[in-house]
Amino acid sequence: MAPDATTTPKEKAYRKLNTSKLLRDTMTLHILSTKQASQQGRLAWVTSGFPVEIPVAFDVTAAYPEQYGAIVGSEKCGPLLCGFAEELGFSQELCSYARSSIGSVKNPQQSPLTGLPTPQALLACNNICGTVLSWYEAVSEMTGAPVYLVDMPPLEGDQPSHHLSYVKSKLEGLIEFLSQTFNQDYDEEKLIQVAELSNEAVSLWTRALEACRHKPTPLNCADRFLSMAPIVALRGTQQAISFYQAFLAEVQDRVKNNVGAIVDEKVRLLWDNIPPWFTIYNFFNTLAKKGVSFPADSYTHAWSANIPRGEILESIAKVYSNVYLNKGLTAKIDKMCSLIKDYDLEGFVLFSVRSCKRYSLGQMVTKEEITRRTGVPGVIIEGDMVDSQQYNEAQVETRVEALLEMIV
Amino acid sequence: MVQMSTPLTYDALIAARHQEVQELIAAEHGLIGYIYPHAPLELFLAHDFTPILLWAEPKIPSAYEASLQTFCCAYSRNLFSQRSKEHMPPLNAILFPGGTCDSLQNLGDVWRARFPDDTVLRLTYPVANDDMAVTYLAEELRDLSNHLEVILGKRFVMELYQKAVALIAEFKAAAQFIAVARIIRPSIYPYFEYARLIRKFLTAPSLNSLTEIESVATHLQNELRKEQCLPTTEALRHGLLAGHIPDQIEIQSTDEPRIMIIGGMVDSEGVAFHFDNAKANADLEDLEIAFDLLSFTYRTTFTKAPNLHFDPFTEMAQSILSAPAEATQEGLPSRLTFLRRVFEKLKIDGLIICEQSFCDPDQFEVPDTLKLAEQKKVLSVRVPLDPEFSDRARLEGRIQSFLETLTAR
Repeated sequence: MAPDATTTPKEKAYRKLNTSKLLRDTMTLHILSTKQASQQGRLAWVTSGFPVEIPVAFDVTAAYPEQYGAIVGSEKCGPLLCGFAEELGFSQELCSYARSSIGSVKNPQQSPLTGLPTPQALLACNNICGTVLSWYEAVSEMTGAPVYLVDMPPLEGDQPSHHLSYVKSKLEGLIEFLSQTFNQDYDEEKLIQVAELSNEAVSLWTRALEACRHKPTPLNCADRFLSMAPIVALRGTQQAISFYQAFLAEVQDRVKNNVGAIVDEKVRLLWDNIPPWFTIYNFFNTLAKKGVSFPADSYTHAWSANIPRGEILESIAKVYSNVYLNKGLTAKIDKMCSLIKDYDLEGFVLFSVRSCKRYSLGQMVTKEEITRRTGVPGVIIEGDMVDSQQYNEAQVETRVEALLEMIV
Repeated sequence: MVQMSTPLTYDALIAARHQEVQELIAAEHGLIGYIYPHAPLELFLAHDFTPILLWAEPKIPSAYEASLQTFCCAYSRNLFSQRSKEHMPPLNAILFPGGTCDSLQNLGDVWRARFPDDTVLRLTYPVANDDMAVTYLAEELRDLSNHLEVILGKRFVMELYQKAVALIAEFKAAAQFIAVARIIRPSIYPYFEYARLIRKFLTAPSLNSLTEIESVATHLQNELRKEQCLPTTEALRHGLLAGHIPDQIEIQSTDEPRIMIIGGMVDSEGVAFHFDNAKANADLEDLEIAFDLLSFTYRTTFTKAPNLHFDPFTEMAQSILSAPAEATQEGLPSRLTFLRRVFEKLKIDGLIICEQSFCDPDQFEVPDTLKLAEQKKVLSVRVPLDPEFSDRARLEGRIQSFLETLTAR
């Protein structure tokens, strides 16, 4: 049978970014640096919402178990590593990032990259969820590395002064902890410089995200989820800035030349939550073939706040306390509604991630409220980000198809 | 003689609870429901409200599916179903905790959306327990107090606060004494009765329910005095209040194995009910639970009382944050150290670990608990214990097998 004359036979529905090689090189160097830091006794495992500028100012390298969980998922070995944790007695009902992380500590030789390098400290901040404390304390029991928790109690509305004072005291405690653990004095000037580097990277990243308002969008969901690696892991470093300068240039170039992330954008949707890492390409590229793009998502926009000028610890306390995951359901709904409006989206997909209660519980209310406010339809699909055993591909396809029928 | 009741069936147990709540409603008290065990009872009483602990309801038909996913914790799902089915007592307000776990955090938000006519209050807890955490929680309590005045129109009355502090402190002292007396000699008073007394007081804190628990404590005091065990009992009580077990405590060896229960926000009385059935099935009537580390018994009652000479809000914050063995707080290493000490000094032979599905804070601690139990040669069993758990016969069978293995050892 002859190929369709209107399309090039080998043309893919999805356009790969040229900067993906730079991304790979940047992250490979980062992984190598974490191994070196561990050998030198200067590695900390850090949660994704942690005010990482502070350990970076202490010349401590940060490794991210959540990012490692994404690698485990992409390598499709989530069930294996989660199984190692379950053998230790950890319930299958617990977060799969935590289970795969614990599993990799138990059996590094059977884990991608032989697991994360051994940490000298475990730095957790509960502004993203409450699980991180229990998870890091469990890892601490296995590795002997001490845990420091920056407690940021959830907020409702504006941050009251006693909340700010409390969080600031936790940051002061962090400085004391790092000084003792890594035998280094605190240098406020250096922290200010790191915060400036962090802000610069965040600004570049945010501009790239905002460029997705363009039709067709220059970035699809998988592009953003992969390209966010440096903003998570390398905030406060020159490497992050260098990567995002190149990344933004490519994004702007796509906008200028009207080149979309997918070849034929017909439907623009919002994505909510962490993606199913084990099928990220398959999921988004299958939809790309149908002309479905995802110009915005609630997750990658989480790293878009600048640390304001002023007293540095207070500024950090304000920015990190006010991430929208720490501000309740209404803040998240507000954010998603504004994304739908600003990016001119026609529908939304809420991924109900069994592992992530903070992010997922409330999505049924969210779905109804967003539709009520914006008039666009949405769908909830169920699964997990790492544990592919909790994901039913056929069921997901059916639900997304139903959404598309409502829109097209 | 201390009055004791034996539950006939699980349904009878639940019916008795409903009766207590109905009496409370009939008395026309203003009611504030709460979920997390470490609620500021004194504060509600000071505002002339009766705090009522919202227990899970085993018989409630499921009615959460349109609002919550199945991976929300079992307790949260159960409460939501109760509210959806209008099975809850008429409350003036309901207090949700913030910062304790993700399920309860989000449940409060979903509740607000689904039941907009309910007055939803929030008290957000710090995860730490240092001076700044006390200051933070004190301010949260002050905000809550202001909220109660503005929203519900009842101001904080110092005289009521003073009475409340006395009431709660006396309840806790009595509950602590019974718990410790049972550690010294588990057969002195049935665990089921101990759990029932605590549940009754927390369902409706009143002088009546206090009198009942105090009379039991006094009776046990007299018993232990006769046996010259009173000094040891008091030393252990003060030690546990300070978070440790004194060196001088020596538990006498007996023929019966010493059993301990661990877990979080599970129904202590329900656990006792199934334990009693299991031991009856195994013809081990003399077996008793010696000690528990559950939320609604040990963790709630072994807290320091507020000092009336100082700022009420700071004192209530200190009291709440003194709750021991609380998995929603940081400090797994110190909890494991305490548990090791409990196994050694209290001569624990068997451990029943009660688990509610999707309860992150408690589930995370199970592996380290199991490891420690194995090191100390304490036989352990994990028991899934969701409120709506239907196969109760199987659950009791599991406990029965455990008890038989334990006694055979």
